[in-house]
Amino acid sequence: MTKIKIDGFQLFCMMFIFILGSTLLLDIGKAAKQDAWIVPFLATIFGCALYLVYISLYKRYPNMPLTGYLIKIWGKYVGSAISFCYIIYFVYIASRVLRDFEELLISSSYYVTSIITLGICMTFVLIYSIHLGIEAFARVTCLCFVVILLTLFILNVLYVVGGYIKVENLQPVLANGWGNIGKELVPLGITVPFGELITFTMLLPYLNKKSQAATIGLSAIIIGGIVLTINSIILLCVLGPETVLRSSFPALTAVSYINIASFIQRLDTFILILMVILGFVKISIYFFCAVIGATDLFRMKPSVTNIYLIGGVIFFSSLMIAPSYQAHINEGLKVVPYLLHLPFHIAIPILLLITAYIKQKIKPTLS
Amino acid sequence: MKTYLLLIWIAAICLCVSGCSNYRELNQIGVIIGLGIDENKNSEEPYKVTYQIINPSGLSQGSSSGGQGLPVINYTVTAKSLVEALKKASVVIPREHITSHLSLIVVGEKLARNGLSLLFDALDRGKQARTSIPVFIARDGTAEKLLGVIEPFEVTPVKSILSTTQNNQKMYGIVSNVQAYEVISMLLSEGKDLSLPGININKPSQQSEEAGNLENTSPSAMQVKGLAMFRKGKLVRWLDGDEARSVQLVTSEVKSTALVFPCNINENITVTATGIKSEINTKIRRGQPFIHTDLNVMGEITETSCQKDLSNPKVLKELEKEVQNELQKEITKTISIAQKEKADIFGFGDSLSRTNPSYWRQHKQNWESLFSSAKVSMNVNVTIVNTGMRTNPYEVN
Repeated sequence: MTKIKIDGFQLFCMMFIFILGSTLLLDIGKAAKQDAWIVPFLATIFGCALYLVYISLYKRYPNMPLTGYLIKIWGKYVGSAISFCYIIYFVYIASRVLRDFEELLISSSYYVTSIITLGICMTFVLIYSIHLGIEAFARVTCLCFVVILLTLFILNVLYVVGGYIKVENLQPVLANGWGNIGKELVPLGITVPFGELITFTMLLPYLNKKSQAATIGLSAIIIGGIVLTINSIILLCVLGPETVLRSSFPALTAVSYINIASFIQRLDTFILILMVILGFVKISIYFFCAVIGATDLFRMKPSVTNIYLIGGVIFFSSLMIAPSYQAHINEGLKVVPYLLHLPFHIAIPILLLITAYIKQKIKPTLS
Repeated sequence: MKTYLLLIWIAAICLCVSGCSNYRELNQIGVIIGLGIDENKNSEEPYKVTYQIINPSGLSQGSSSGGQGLPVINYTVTAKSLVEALKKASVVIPREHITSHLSLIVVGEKLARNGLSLLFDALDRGKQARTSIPVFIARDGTAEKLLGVIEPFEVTPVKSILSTTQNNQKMYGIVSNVQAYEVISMLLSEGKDLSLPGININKPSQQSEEAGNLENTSPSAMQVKGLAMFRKGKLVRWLDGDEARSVQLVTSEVKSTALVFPCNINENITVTATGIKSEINTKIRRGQPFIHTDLNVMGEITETSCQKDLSNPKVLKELEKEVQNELQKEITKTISIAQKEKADIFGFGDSLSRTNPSYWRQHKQNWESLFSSAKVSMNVNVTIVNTGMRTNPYEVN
């Protein structure tokens, strides 16, 4: 399809950062209290299974993005309609994630800056990165990968050295049974962040070695899942389940506790840098998917106007989707998972796979 | 043409991202370092809030230019809520006051007796100040008075409170600093009640608030005075001296202390504890909670006023026994006080909730009464590792 190619390690970095994404910040599975760390752990297993579904679709059409083979499998009309829905979905989620990060910045250190200013700054960077193309973006993610690992490592070492880890916060394990964990896991735990890997069905065609897709993807998911689990354990140990539940941004609260010898303190900057990087990568990937999908579906030539248009839409809808942060989060936790994530992440890909499989079975008998 | 356009762009971006849109110089802000909250008699405005603000020119006493005034200035306002008080303080504070360098909170005793409840919500919710700052109770007085002492030793009263309590925790262990987030988590915990360090002025007099205090060799100063015991967020009683120290021993917050026990009439032996480790363990026996603590103390004999053959290991073993008994008595007394007040400041309930979650879920509503009637057992283990630089004391003839 194109000459643009990304290599295995770049794909790994992209996926890893994408998985950490906003989950690292918002900490999924809060309502399971002291067992919250089990949620990302189990979600990783579901994530692997889900990724295998995406990969088997990709193996059938290795040179096409999702929007391409939707039309191939489900015909011109149904396929195009669903593809179109996917594009809208990518734009919508991109604006949701953008809003998450705007809110984080506003509520932590930029409390006098207006949300619009932050949105504009971020959107320009995004447009610029999309404009440079996926190859340049992939190289940047490798750089980000190193920064993220270093920051996480430093923070975790400081938690341990400062004696902030209280393991008794994790006890009693499974005191309230599996009920709460189940509620957290379905649908939110499995769809965010692992279901969101549906975006990579749009990006996989750019991979230079097709055979590597499965192994690289799975290793990124497993390592990402482990990092999320460790992060969740550490947040619980430092803050305790009650505070995690009450905090809008547990990671930021936890880092504000660090005070080693009255010298190493106020490390919020670390978290903010981390979050801006994670947010940038995550929104960029959604943005890429929307642009690739639109050019593919409408058979347009890749153009800058396109990128500016979609960027503008993302920016404006990020401001308009919700009147307040609480409304935004409430929507994200109660409405979006059921109405958008479940069908777009799980139902449609599985149905696609089944149709493709049946078609393949029928074809030889017909001809 | 293209290069010029690029240059303009770069200049524009530099202007935007340099962060100068909201800058404030140091001489335009008032840095709040201490916050005192008292009860106000007027029920319409229930809070009387004292802000201690750094006076930079007073701080630079050493410099040749010479500072003017005292290193800190206190401002007191009354308000309906704490945030209102902060905004309202602008009627007396001439510079934009910021709370991001707040380093402690003092709560007046009267307010603490009426209950802390949601006092810390503004702090918890706020964006500027953080919750990792310690909280103290102004014993027998108001936070306003306490923060008003002209400190003889440290630069500011706030610094003095912080270093005195830290020093006490390190050397003797009546109190341990409790951070605001720990206060919040204890307030919302069902299995642990709050205990906070008490501070007062050792020689309350009018002079303590004047610069004349500095011209005295035994000036008024902050002192650590007991441990405030809370039940359901309300101060119920004070624990003093050994009672307060036992609490820190059980929760293993103290690093070192001096244990004195009698060896004869009017004669004492002092053991300095160098390593203290304890563990709280609550069990269920025959359907009843059973409180158990393990305490391991390692120490050395540092003073004696009675003649004993300290070179004999057998004598040391006996002494260890006696210290154990003495400690056991002290701790039992403190626990029975806590049981009488139904205030589980040790966190026995928390321990139970971890070991027996199902029992805890059924009985957490009436944990107070269960705690007050619970049986107590203790396992104190004292090891005397040496007797200092001498074996036997010198004999007075």
